[in-house]
Amino acid sequence: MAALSSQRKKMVGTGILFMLPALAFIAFAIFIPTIWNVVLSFQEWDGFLHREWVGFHNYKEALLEENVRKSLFNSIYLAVAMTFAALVIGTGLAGFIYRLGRREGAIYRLILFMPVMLPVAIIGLLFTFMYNPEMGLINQLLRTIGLGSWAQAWLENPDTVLLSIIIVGIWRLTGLTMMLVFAAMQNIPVSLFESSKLEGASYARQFFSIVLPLIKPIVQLSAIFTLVLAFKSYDLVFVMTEGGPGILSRTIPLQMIDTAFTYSEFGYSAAMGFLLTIAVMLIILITSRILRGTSYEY
Amino acid sequence: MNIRPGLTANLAAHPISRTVVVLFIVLTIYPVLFVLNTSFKSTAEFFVNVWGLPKNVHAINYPKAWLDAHIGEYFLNSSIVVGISVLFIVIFGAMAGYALARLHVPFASGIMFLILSTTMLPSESAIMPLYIMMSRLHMIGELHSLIIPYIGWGLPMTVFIFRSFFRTLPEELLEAARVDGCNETKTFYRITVPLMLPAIATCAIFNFVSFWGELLWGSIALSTSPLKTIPMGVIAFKSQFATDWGPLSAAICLVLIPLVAMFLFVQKYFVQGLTGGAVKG
Repeated sequence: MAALSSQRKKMVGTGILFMLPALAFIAFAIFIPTIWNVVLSFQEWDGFLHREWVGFHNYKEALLEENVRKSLFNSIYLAVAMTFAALVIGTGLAGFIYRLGRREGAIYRLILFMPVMLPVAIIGLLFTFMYNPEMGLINQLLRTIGLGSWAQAWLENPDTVLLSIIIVGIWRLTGLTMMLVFAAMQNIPVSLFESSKLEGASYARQFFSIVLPLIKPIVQLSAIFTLVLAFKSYDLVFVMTEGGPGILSRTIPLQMIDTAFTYSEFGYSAAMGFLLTIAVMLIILITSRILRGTSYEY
Repeated sequence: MNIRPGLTANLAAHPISRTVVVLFIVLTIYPVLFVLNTSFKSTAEFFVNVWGLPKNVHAINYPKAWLDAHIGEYFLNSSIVVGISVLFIVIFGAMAGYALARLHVPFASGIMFLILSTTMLPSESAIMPLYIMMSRLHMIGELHSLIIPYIGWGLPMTVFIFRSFFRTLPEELLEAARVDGCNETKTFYRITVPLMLPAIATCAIFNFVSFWGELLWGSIALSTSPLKTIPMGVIAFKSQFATDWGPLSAAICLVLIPLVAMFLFVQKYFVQGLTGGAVKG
């Protein structure tokens, strides 16, 4: 018995040793900066000598400043709109692909999943090509089919800039939901489809009445994944519009980087970062509440 | 497994499903094919022939981007940064995942939860304190100033994936090795690692994909240095020669080629790893 417990102790010791490098790197790159960000948000600091505690002053200022409010709104609006559309389209596509042949479907899934793994900055560049006012594909297409009057500077027009960015986000993120939902559909027993078919249910009816309730936990999971990805807006917005025209498409990460590195107001920038963190947590919480479903045994 | 309806390879079946899916396939792949197509046109030809295939294949765009726009140099930088990062992420991630799954570390679930919950945080809001921290430590402006944070950012998901894989490993196998006199380290490298190759492939591609195109931290950490990674190089190229569409497209293709090649090569593992971990929980 004594030998066993000493063997176990040795195992635990090895385990802690095995975890140390990973924990050290995670602490350095994530834990410490995150905590420091919270601390900084209660200070006023110019990056050098001047540093003082100012309580919630930075937060008050941030919530009162028009630019920050607009950025926070954009961050949330872009992420929620992208996620909602990507979830609906991705789930629908999974349902359609489920009907098709296995080999054929595998190729489709591979192509649809591809954008998820492309670098966001490169996706932004691809779409500045698509949206380019003169040579861009979208305007060329509109002119070709005789809707030339609809052609416009998509990313410079205040009315279309956010929608244009959202469409890119949907293009990028739909494949993730499609892949996860399709994988979940694989686990639904075929007998459920067969018995309901005998009772005269169409595939559409089956999809809404059988598939959707069963895969709800996966939709919830993929909503969270998609939200997390969609909230990382810096690369995409920076490459496509740099937050313009004016500040119309600016999101919190762009506003933060500007505040910290152009104006050296580090505490203020940190407060914006923490506001974004709170907003992300709230949205994730609300989303998972909305999509919370019963797990069925099948 | 079960037999799905619609296993038939009959292309006439389910016309609506197929039409919708093919429409989205076209929308998905067209921007990429467009850039690939443009990369083989001279800029002059591009302006008169936006849609069609190139009439003269203008492959000179590639050497032009590689040399004149220094994409070659940046390609090498990115390969070094991402290669070293992925190597350490996989090694440290496998070790931590193994420890958390198998070595009876106290509070294993709590530690895993804490690590994993960081992936939900908007990482962009911790960039600024990290920059200040690293510049205080004089760790800014070299390639290692990218490698160290990348390792830290890649680890949480990697530890989670490895932990899930190690938990599916039969305990008896490890017990047998221990009874035969293997110590923990030897058990790990001799028995466990070879069985875990699919997990290693998943994590390697997953992290390669995340960091190959990373722009924000790269441009902040290397802002005072002439060093650039490949996405930074392409963005700089774009702001300098915005109308030189041919070489710019070639530069974009040079970023995408290793990603697509790697993805096609290990996509089976990748998708299995992602959905396996996610769906089975």
